[in-house]
Amino acid sequence: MWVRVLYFGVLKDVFGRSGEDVELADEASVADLIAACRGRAVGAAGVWDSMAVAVNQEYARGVDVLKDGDEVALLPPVSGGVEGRLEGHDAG
Amino acid sequence: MRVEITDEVIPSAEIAAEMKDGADGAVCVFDGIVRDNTRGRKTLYLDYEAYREMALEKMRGLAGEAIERFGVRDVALVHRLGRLVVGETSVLIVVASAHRGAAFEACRWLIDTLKKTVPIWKKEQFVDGAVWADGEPFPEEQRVGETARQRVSEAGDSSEVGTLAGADGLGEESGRPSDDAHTSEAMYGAPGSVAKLEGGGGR
Repeated sequence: MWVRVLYFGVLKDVFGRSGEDVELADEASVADLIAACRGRAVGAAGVWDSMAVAVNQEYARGVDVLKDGDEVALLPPVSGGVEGRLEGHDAG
Repeated sequence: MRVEITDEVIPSAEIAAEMKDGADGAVCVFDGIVRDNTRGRKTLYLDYEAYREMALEKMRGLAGEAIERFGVRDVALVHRLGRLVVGETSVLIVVASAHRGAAFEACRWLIDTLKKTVPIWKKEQFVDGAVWADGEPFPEEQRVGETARQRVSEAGDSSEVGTLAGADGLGEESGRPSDDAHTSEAMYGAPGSVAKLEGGGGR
């Protein structure tokens, strides 16, 4: 089956594109997709352990099973709005 | 409710004025603007991007939840995308309510929750480089989960690290690998694994 994968934030830079179609085994899970993507990525190692995934625009779990035609977005920790996360913690 | 994602300047004063109604005793406004530095590093501008459809849907959900949760009368929630310079409004939140307590609380909850759950990112352009801003950790219910993390770390140990992306994704921006390291270090506290993975990519 094929799914449409969307990259955002630092992952868009890592993959050099905003999205692509990826072929997966039938019954593949969100975790399987992450493993496949991570295996091809260079840099930004930390993001893989802290990101979220949205399937068809809803937050998903690693165990969720994908189906043909799903839109899967890989979402690094979000940083909209204003002010940095580490404000007031300059040592960080 | 007025919930928008826009590429234009946010007319903060106009929106705040339009939100007022005879039944209100308080209008609480949070006007989030671009600061001229991050931890002392001089900022030139910020580039905001979003998973637009999902972000708008999540913002609508938050506005509705704020009304229900805090009993306020009305909420405006507007986020701007694209390139913003120092002093410009990136996010505007207006809460109208009969009483000030609920207005303050709803306003605070809205910005705090938006920053953790709405898929919007910003890249900070400094005088001496650019970096994706450290994000807020996702709430537990929105992370991909332990199962994913375990399986992912197994995959990360395999030797097939980096062929495709390494070939076409990394050449353009000089200096970016160190920016990644900065982000990862600050956020995830594992500089050792960063160095190892980048080295594995043959750079």
